[in-house]
Amino acid sequence: MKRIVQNSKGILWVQENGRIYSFPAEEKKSRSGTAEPELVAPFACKVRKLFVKPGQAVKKGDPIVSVEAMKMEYSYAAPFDGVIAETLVTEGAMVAQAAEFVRWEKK
Amino acid sequence: MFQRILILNRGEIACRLIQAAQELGIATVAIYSDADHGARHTELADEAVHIGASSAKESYLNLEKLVKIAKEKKCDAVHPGYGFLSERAESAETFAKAGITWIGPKPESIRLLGDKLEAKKLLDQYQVPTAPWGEVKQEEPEALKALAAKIGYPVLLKAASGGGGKGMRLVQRPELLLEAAAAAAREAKASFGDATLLVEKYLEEPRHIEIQILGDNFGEVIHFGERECSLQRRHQKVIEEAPALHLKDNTRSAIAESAVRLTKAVGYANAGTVEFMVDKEENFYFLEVNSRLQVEHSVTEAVWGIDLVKSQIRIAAGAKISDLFPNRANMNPRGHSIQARIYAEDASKGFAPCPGPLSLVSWPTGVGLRIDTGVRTGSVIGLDYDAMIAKLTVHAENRKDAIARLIWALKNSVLFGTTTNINYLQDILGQEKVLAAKVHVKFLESVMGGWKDPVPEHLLGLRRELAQEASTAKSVEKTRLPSPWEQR
Repeated sequence: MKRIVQNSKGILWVQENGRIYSFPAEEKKSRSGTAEPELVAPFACKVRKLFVKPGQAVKKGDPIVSVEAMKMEYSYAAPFDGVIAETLVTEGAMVAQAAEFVRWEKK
Repeated sequence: MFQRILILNRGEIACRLIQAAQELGIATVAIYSDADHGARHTELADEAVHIGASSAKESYLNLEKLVKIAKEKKCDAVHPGYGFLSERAESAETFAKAGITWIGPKPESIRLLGDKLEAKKLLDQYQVPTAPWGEVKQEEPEALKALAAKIGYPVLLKAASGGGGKGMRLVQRPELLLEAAAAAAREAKASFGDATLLVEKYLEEPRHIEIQILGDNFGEVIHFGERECSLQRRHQKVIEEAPALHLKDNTRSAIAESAVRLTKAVGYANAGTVEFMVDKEENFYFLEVNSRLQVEHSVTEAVWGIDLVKSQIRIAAGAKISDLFPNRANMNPRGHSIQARIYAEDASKGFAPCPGPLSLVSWPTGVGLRIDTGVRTGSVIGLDYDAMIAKLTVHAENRKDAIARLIWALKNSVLFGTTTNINYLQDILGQEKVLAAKVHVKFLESVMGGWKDPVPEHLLGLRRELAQEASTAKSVEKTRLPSPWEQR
């Protein structure tokens, strides 16, 4: 069986039988289940529009932010009802992968 | 012939253009932004000039600067490739004014064909079919019924003055028409203050068929057959092929002839593509003209045995079609060619782009295989440009063999460091309906919509062994050696 493996910065890249997969080389300990679901940048991107302000109450599904990467635009909505405590990005800014867009007020 | 061509593009297409120019004995000047410092196209070219920051606006779209560079470097022609400046009439005009030849259509044709209404007038005049449509007031039920019947069901009702899906209704049968029209008119009135409706022929599962045309500066236009580009995601092509399957010979020639009629009428020079939608009954309807070289030109080159980019350059330098292709009447496509576009994106997450550094790039070599790419090991996929990083094109005796060959090529391509659609492409090509060529523009969305590709359990269970294997690096090192583009 043909297999090609590379460890690139802690991520294993494997090609086996012609298919390519990647996953962390170290198994992650599961996090304690208390954290709120996050709203984070799924990839490095540019913030086009921020629809919310600190203190604003939003309903699940309300638009929070729209971002742009590689000529395409993607919008992200509130994953639950809540109140925005803080906005962590500004319009026009580049953000890194996994960067938080907003912080929520504790319920 | 030209002395020096400025290549107004980046990535795989810049490399493609440079090869053609160099084969013709013409020097090339490449351009690069901050993000493309050291990119493959800059090394292939005879010379490379830095143009500015990474954003396209400050680099590959900076017309003023590009004209200045062309003059400074004494380039007598420019090639725009696709995207960026390629379909902007004012770019072609600006270079022409500076005395530099634009390798592409005349600005007048770009402008004329880009104008939807002007183009529509031409279409009627030259009998190029468009999807039938008409305008009607909702309060006139008899007129509405007559119009819908004339167009033929199913029809799509749209708000005449709107967009964004408001006031839109699909009507499958005549008895549903009036009710749907009333609802559509209400929405149209509420949203746009105007209840006028457009009735349009609704194409169910149409195919995307396009014709490659080539014109010279003396009024001659010929075609090089069709390409089928029905496999699309997010309205972007993923897999393209030539010739199209399941198309009657008279449909095939009728589409090609109408493309030639239209482009000849506007005095179209150089390479272009006329796109059509084709329904199940093989009625075909004009979609648009792409006044430039297409991404998928490679499949046409394969089956016709031609070099479209070299032809573009020769035509721009004054060659006649009759001299370039004196034997055109006896030329026919041979075998079958398919191209797969490799995108740095995650097909299991709504095609989210996956920028980042490529930690390993390795392509197969073999029979009937062409690889167009601008990336190599160490390249960084940035956010400023399109996510397409390579094209794999195969050519074989028939379609079945071509599919098998493309799957083989994909399985022997290694792209590590960022997620690509390489597994997704293999799964598309494994679909029964794709093998049978029963596809349409909504196929990927409807059949591959919920595509998931979890890491196989047995690999996750092998973490330790795999990490060990990676650290001995025997498999990776072996793969790293053969690439001639390797950065050291």
